[in-house]
Amino acid sequence: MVRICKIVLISIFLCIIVPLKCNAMSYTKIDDLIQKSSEYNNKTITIKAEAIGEPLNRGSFTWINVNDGSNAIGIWMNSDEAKRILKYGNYKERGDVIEVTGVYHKNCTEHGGDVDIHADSIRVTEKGYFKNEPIEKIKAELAIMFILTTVLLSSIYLKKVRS
Amino acid sequence: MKIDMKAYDVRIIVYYIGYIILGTAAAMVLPMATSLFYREWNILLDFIISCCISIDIGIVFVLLGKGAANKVRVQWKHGLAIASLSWVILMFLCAIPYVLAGDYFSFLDACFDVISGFTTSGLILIQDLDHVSMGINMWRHLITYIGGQGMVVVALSFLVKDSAGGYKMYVGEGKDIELVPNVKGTAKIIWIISIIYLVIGTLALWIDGIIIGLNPVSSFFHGLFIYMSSWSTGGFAPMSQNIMYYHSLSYEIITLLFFIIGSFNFGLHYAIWQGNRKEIFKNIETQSFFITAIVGSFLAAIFLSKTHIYNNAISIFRRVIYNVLSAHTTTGFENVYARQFASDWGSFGIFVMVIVMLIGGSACSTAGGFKGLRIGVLFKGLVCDVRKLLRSESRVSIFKYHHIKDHILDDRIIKSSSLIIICYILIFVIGTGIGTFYGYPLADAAFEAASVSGNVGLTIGVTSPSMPSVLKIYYIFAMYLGRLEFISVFALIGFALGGIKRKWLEFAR
Repeated sequence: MVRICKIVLISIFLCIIVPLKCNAMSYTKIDDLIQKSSEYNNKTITIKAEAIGEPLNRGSFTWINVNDGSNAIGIWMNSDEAKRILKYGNYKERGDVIEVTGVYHKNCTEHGGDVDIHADSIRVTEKGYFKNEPIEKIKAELAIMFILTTVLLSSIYLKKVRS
Repeated sequence: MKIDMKAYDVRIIVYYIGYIILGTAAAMVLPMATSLFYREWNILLDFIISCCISIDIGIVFVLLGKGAANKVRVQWKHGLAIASLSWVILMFLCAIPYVLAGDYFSFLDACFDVISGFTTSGLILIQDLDHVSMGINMWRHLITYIGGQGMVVVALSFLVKDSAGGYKMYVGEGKDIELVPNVKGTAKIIWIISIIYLVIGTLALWIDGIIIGLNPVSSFFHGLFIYMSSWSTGGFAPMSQNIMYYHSLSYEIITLLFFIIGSFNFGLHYAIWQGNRKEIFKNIETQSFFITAIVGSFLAAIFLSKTHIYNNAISIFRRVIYNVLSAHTTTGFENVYARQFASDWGSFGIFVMVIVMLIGGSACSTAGGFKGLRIGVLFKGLVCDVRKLLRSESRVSIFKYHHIKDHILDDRIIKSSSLIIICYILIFVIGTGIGTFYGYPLADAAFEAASVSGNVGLTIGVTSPSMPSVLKIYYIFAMYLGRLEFISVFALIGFALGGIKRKWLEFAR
């Protein structure tokens, strides 16, 4: 009987804890912020997204643009906080993935009606990395083949033009 | 010896298209150099392959048509077919680097982006733009820059020695102004004007980019790309957020300045450069543009401030007036999200945007749409008709309008302007119809159809890789028709149908 009670208690405990843990991990998608802008306007939200491009330093504050795969948005944050982001996504690099908690504005009066998030806190959850790009052999072979064809055709063209 | 004129017709077209293809292949050197600079080796290989394919096809075309060039004079039908067919062939060739780089779901999507660039529309189907290579970005913006001036203008300026038939090709590409008596000279002046502005514009955006926080190297490339898009009234940008990426009023003002200048007629630029500054106030096209731009901006600003979407002057200037002018000049830079037009701007806001997108910029500029000249001519024609009715029947009245020089406003001009406007309205209505057929709301379908018909590039969210293929193909066709202003495409269709009919009759015999 004691054993059954223990199992029931543990089960109840797990039923409460697991969803709580799941809720803590849920983030708002940037596209949702855009689509339901009135619903989220001036509310504190948390997003998780990759830093892209480069930081746009404006003195004590910095603009960081982030993309979570659904859309991209500008984050207005303290320049000291921004320094914690080391890699920004581009063709060759995967940027740091950051968790941003802040206030979402669909029409920021401070920034000329911009759609932005004023960050309260940021946390780098995944470090960015350099994407190794090996030269594709098939492309190299094709390039050589086409260069040779072009040289041949160009010589025929020059001969014909001169004649 | 009896010359088979039909075969020569095709060969003369093939000959000049060959040179236009060679010109485009030469342009690929620039993205190659960019890839080399950024050590994007696979992208470099993509451009080498694409460039070689273009050169090969160009040479084959020139060799096939070589004999005809000395025997046949370029006629109107040739000029129009050369211009319109070269755009179709270049669409496929210029899409090769896009496909090789793997930035698109399909070849159709890549072709869509090429034609969007060439027609200076600016709608995109590219995947993950924020991680696209600099080489591909250079190509995207170069395509829009070249498309703005016109590929035929490029070929006429640098490649084609005989300019006798040049005017016919030049007109076929939707340009008809003669800055100097020689069309080759006109093409060169268009390029000189564009290059001088390119240096000034890139420099301005480069410096401003550094001030707003970009590093000097990327600021240069961002400046160059954004300038190319502004001047060409293109609307492409290197980042997915478009102009929003920069979060800068000064950057927006510089782009605004250049896309307004870019939407003006090359004839107007030349007149001002020649010291005739009064032309800007006297020209019917600039008068028409300023009136419609002020009315459009005013109406949108009043409506959106009334609905409290934007509640201060800076917001209204940056989010409303900027986007209205971007739409009116057919640029397509947007500093609001696509869906905000649908969710925040309301039906009246969308209505204003649709109207200004359809009106468009100036004739013989980089802009699309009906063109201010035609709107001005129609409006003046209406006023003149009313005046005629009010005057004595025995009195003969001659009405004039000013566009670079004074022209007599006759029924022929009014008729040709009306016909082109009717064609634009037709492609807009068909585009709206197809959009609604696929389940998009009427306002969204109309907004997007106006954007493609006027070569604008603003989107309300319809244009995406997941949209139906039929809609993608129609939008490609509408952008192409809108940019070439119908006549040369109709000539090409007539030319092709004539050939098919002849072959059919031969076969039937």
